[in-house]
Amino acid sequence: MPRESTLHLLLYATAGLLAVFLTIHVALHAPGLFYDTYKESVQRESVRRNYENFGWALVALLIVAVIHGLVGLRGILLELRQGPRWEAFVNFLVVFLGAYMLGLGTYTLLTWLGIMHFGG
Amino acid sequence: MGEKRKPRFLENRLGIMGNIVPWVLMIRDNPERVAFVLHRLTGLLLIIYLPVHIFVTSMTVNPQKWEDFLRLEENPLAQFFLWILFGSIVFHGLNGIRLLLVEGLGKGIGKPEPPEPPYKPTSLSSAQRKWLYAVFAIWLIVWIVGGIILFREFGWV
Repeated sequence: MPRESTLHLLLYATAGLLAVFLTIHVALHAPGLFYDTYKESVQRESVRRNYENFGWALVALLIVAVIHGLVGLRGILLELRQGPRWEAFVNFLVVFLGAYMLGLGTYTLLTWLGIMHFGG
Repeated sequence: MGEKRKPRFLENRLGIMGNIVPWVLMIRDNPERVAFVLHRLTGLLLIIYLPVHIFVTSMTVNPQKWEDFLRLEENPLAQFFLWILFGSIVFHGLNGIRLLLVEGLGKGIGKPEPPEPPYKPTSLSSAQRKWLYAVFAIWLIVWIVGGIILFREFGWV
């Protein structure tokens, strides 16, 4: 694991980026902005359009959200309890969850890119 | 004259309940503590939701699975959760920006003074306190307005 100070700086840096990316993400589902209704914003055609127009921004959002969330979760869990075994478990947990989320998110984006370019 | 009120002290070891339930905190004039607890609660909710959201989003590649999920969103409980989630994002975001300014950049906390009785830190009467009240006010307004828009669409109002 990186130094605690590095992780905390990472928390701040990703927080700043999230403020921008997440506002756009929520705005994409806000009625009356990009779509007339919330329900319209979650239709498959709208999702496809979002991947087409904001695909790489969604990847950036995924990465910063996962880092920010997991560094925050790690901090909370390590404040609850201390000890080398607990710390090793928490570190394993956040790395495992991070790999799962980044892997699944990337898979979804690549599948959508395939659908957009080769049909489906 | 009434009985002199007993002084109340900040509890250093609040335990897990003190960190989870803001109502167990018997601390006067400490909205920062309430914001801390709310920031934690909303953060925990969001990190629990994030893997679920990524999993659900992966269903969009399969039209049938996505249709099934959208039917699930017709459930009033799911709609209510969406509103709670929206409120969590708004509070965590607004308070996060305040924390970035206060903790990250050291803005709005005033100048340090010699520690003389009654030991009231300048940071508690500086700009950050006003920012905190602004965070609470903007959060409640956005959350309520967002709720009205969402629940109107869902046919609740």
